[in-house]
Amino acid sequence: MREEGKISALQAMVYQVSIVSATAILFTPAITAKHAKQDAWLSIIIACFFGSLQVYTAISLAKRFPNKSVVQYAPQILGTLPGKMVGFIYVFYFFFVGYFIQQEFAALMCSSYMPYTPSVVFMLILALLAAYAAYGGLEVICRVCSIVQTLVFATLALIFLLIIKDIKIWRFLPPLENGLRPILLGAIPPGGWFGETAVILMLYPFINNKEKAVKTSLLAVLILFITMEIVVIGAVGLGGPAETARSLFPTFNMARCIKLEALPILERQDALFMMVWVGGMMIKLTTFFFAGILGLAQWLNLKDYRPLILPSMAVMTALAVQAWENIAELFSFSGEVFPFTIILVNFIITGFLLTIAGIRNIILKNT
Amino acid sequence: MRKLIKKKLQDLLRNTINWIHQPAVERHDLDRIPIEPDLEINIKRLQEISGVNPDFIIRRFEIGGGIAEAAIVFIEGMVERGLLNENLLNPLMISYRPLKKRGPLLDQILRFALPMDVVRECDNLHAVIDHVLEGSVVLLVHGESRSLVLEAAGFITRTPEEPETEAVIRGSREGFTETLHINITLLRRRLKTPNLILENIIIGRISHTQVVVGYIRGLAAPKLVAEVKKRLQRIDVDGILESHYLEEMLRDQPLSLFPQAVTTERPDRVAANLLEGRVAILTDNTPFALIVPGEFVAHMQSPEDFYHHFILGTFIRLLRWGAFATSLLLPSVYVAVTTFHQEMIPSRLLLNLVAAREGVPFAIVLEALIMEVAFEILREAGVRLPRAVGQAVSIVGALVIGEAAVTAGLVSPQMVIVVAMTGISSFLSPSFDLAISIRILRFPMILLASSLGLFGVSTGLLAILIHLAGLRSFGVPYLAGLTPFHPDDWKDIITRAPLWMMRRRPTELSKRNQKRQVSGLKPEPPDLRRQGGRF
Repeated sequence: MREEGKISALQAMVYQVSIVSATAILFTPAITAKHAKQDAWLSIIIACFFGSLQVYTAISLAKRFPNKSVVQYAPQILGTLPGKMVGFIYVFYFFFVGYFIQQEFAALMCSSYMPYTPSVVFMLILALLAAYAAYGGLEVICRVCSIVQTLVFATLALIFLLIIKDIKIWRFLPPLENGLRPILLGAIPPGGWFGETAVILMLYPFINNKEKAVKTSLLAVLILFITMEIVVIGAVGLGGPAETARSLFPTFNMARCIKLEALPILERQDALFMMVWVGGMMIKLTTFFFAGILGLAQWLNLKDYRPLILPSMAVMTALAVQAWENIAELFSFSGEVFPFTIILVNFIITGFLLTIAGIRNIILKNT
Repeated sequence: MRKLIKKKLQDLLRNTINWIHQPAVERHDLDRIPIEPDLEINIKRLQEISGVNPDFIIRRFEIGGGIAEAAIVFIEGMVERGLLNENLLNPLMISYRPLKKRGPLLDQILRFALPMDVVRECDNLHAVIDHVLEGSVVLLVHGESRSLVLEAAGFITRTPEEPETEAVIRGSREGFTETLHINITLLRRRLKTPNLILENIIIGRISHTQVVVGYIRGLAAPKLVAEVKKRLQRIDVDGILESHYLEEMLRDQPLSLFPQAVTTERPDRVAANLLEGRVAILTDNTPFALIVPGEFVAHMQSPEDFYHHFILGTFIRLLRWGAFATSLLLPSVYVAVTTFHQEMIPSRLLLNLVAAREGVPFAIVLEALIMEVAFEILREAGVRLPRAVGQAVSIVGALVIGEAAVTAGLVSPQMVIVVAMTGISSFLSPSFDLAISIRILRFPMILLASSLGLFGVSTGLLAILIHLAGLRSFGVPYLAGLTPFHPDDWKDIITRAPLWMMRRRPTELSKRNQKRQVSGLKPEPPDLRRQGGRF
């Protein structure tokens, strides 16, 4: 009586939100404030438009092939060999972001909470949880996502409510001090993250009410936009742009900054925020990992992806262990290189595929 | 001489072990043996089958002063003696009506000589034996190849009492008993509709346990009922002694720690669940009924929530969710916070904590484990010990665990509070099965917390969440209501909405017949204007 892998558009939306939110919440303020300073909140608006464009491109492509994923139809668009190569880029992209997340997660845990625990412990635990969820399949992942995501947003809202009295408007002044250029520069990384919602390319064949997918995808971008605005406004308004740009995890600082005379028990409870955030990271890794193994299985023409779970998990963790030397390297990478790699896949390659598909479709129509 | 002794010994052996050496009576053997017109043969066969059992009684007599030879077969203690003598033996032997010698004798007996209500006919020995073992009396008449089965079951039963595992303040005090037909009566009295269908299934090769599948036609999904019956019929074991035998065989995920059927002793809980479109499984010889699908929120609902004001009901529900979290998490969070995240504790409390723990020789995790295990031991002892000794144990337990252990410097008083709170919280769960799974999960959670702090607790919770999200109970997702998210169900999950608002049944269960009641039931004061109250 078990139906395998049919989700509603709304669940797909939760998936899309989950795939972005955990790291975006944590890193957006620092990375955006570095360039855009006090105008970071403007950068997010620009990034949001860029993100909508990306997800719209992706969904236009997906709509042409309603019953297949991008890994499956890339060979149909480009021909077998180039198509397979593009398919592999997509698959590798998912694993690449996967081990990037593992490394990010381990870096945060090591630097903020457990300095004496080797980072591989955190990577491994997160990987095992993600593998367990992936064994359950798409439905299970979506259910876990919806519960964890609710908790993440509730916690974030609570933190924001508790610090709202300490936000100073003058920290956002003067606007547009250095013109538009820094704002655009600051918009690139969050724009890249918004683009991760293009995972709809993999999910589209499993959605049972496909006609709603466009609306829910854009809604996902909107939800993420609100989330990022909240953390950016909170972080910049609380500590000013310079301090936000300097600190590694401004959102955690935000939780640490809670000051309440009336209820001192609510102060210094950032470890609770960490607990929820672990859940967010877990589902983020799961969503990427699941998309990756699903794509890999389709790339290899396998019937079931489950045998791939443990081997690819092991490879991914190994890659995560060796990839970045230290947290500084990881950070400059995530600010300067990482957004461009994901924009390359999510926007440029997807747009390229869409263009070719459009042209070839027209040719097909004419003949 | 030696030969003689040997033969005697052999005879002795043969006589005493005679019945043991006979092959077991199998159902398919008996099915083939018809009832012969000759009474002697029937009686001989029955004696062969029944063996030396002293309670298997074959009483021979003559009907109506020599009209026919007859015998009744029954098991002593399973039938009501008075009924048997008054309504069967008396009219046939003493105050008999004149029976005609011509015409089928059995029909005549049935029509005017037997003042008993339920009488069936059967024509093979297998049926005879089956009915006798169920507590009926079988009447065999010479010259007839049929026999009459008279229902006269009258064994000692327990009267319905207040269920001990699910006591309530307000609400019915009746609980199920070990007797199936009493349980069915209790259920029928609550749901007086011909649509309450009770289907009988016999399970167990040796025990022949009667299992009844109950549902309301038109409410329960036909697919669900068919699936329940299919899974029940698949069970082929020698004996079903308690409904948990069934539960373990019916599960979607046999290895999961979480209960996948609601177990209850309360007829009102079964009735309430049947009204939601669930299926009940009643088993003979146990007061515990199973309700499927038993998803997570079904374990968190108690019928008593609906017997009080809805605000109190909501309060109790919220309290219950809190207690659920406490019983799972309190020890592990305490261990994690005191070991890894001392900054979370307010300074003054931290000072007290350190002062109280000064003399304690164990690490906090060890302290927690010792106390938890001690609590489990006391709890088990409280259940198993004879009532008279129970009180002594609880006093000693309270003293040993509480006062003495702290005074002796073995544990800190805070740990006693934590363990006590955890233990008490676990009793708030309306489902004993769910409480058990939480009880066991507490230990891995403590270990995770002690090794990885709150991160470990988070890890454990996520693993449980993933497990639960993948679980199903009879095709219904285990976390139904929470995820897949059904906002309409929420008024019966976190809160207990007023009855007039509960217009729909749970979404996952009753896809066909969702409407529970008409809308606009909210009571209002009578129209003031018409009464002239406002003017």
